Amino acid sequence: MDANAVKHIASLARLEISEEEAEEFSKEFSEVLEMFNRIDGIECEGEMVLPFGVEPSLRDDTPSGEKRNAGYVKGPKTV
Amino acid sequence: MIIDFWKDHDSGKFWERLERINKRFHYLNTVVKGEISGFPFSAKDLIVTKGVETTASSEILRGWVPGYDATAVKRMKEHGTLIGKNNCDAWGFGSFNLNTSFPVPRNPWDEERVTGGSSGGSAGLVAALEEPTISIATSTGGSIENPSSFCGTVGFVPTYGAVPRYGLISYSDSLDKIGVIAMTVEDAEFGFNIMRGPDKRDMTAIHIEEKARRVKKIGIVKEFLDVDPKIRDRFEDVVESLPYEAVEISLENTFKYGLVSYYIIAMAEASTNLARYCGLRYGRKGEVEGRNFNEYFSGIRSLFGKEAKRRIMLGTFVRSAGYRSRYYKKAACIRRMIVEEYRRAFKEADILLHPTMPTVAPKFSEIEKITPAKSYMMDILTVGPNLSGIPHGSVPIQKSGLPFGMTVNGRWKEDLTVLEFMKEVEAVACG
Repeated sequence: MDANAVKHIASLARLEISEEEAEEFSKEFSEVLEMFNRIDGIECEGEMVLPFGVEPSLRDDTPSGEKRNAGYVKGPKTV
Repeated sequence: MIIDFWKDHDSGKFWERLERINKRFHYLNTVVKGEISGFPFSAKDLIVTKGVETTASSEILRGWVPGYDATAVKRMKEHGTLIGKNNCDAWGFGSFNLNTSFPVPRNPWDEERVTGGSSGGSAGLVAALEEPTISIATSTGGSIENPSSFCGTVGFVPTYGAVPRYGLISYSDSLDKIGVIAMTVEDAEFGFNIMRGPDKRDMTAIHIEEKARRVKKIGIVKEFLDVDPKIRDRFEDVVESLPYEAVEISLENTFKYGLVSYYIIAMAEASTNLARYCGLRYGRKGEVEGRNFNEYFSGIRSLFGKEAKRRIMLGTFVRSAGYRSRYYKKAACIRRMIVEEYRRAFKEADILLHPTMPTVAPKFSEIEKITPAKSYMMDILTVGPNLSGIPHGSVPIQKSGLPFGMTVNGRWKEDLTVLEFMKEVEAVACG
């Protein structure tokens, strides 16, 4: 990842970085991404966001009955 | 037990010692001096405390005094007294507690060495004090186990969600856990039992199994034995002294891909979580005059330390269009593989054991020039149980000279089984 790419990401992340920092991060990120690339080509299916066994519960005051449908909750009209 | 010790203990000398230790070793960012009722506990500075400055050890939050307590702190205050906020790697980002805006804490056994991180101030303080205390700490990828191994403390990381996270400054929501650091397993269990249980303010907070299981078979994770030979020898001695049938377990995918999967997920989540620090709602404010929103926002965010900037940028990159599938989605998919690998392993054994860290605490001079990628590799043995969300804890198995620990892992929600087993390891190793 070159210094220009680092500056682009920094602007996406709303971070101010100096030319010097961009050069330094560029070297470091290249090594980190080389490490990340170890997972290239791994075959696997289905992402997991929360670890196994956790079923988020909803608060007691969450709307029930007709305001609940297919896992969604109908909220109040705001506009 | 901690509560009995403090029943009739004079706290005058305690404060004297604590202040002397803190001046030299830098374990607390803020000291809250006062009368001790019940027992003393500290909280990592990543956990919100009412009326006490909470900085996450970062410059950007300096001066922020929250108006509420985290659930874990609130529950602990019903039995004990908050004595201070522990130094840590800013936002929990680090394995050596070097990434702090406060003076870097030093290992209580050798000042030339690190405490480990990110809960370095927690483990350091607990180990350095003569009197028993408890620290509320957090682990995302090893932040309780790592400093516990390096400082010779007991560190317990509960099942994901067993202790509510309301009031914990988020690093990576799908991985963050609140746990305990103490000098004995009994004290760690005591602290955990106070803090655990559902909370209406945290929808991921859960109940755990209320009874410990009778352990029949233990599993030794073969890929996790490539460590310092002294650690490996002592680990094997302790395993041999335990009165259980031991089987060899393979966690090959966890060993090969766990570290990468962990860092991609943790950085991706951190980059979104840290977007809230923009100089409007919390902590330090900047000069508004003559600057548009983006300029103001970016200017304040330059107060982030180097490691925070690294993680925000790498996290933004792995989520960005064109790279999301290659990195973030793949890492989340590997996480499923790892969780399934642990589930298979627990069909063969009730408890899984391995050394906590590959080395003893390194010297500051040894890690001065280490690159970020190399420092991330220190977490090779701790990321697996953290990605899986299983309960696990580190028990010191070498207390003389430089300490190191053994990690005890159990099935999801079997926290009490893990704690019971940790007591057995403690009795064998240090009894």
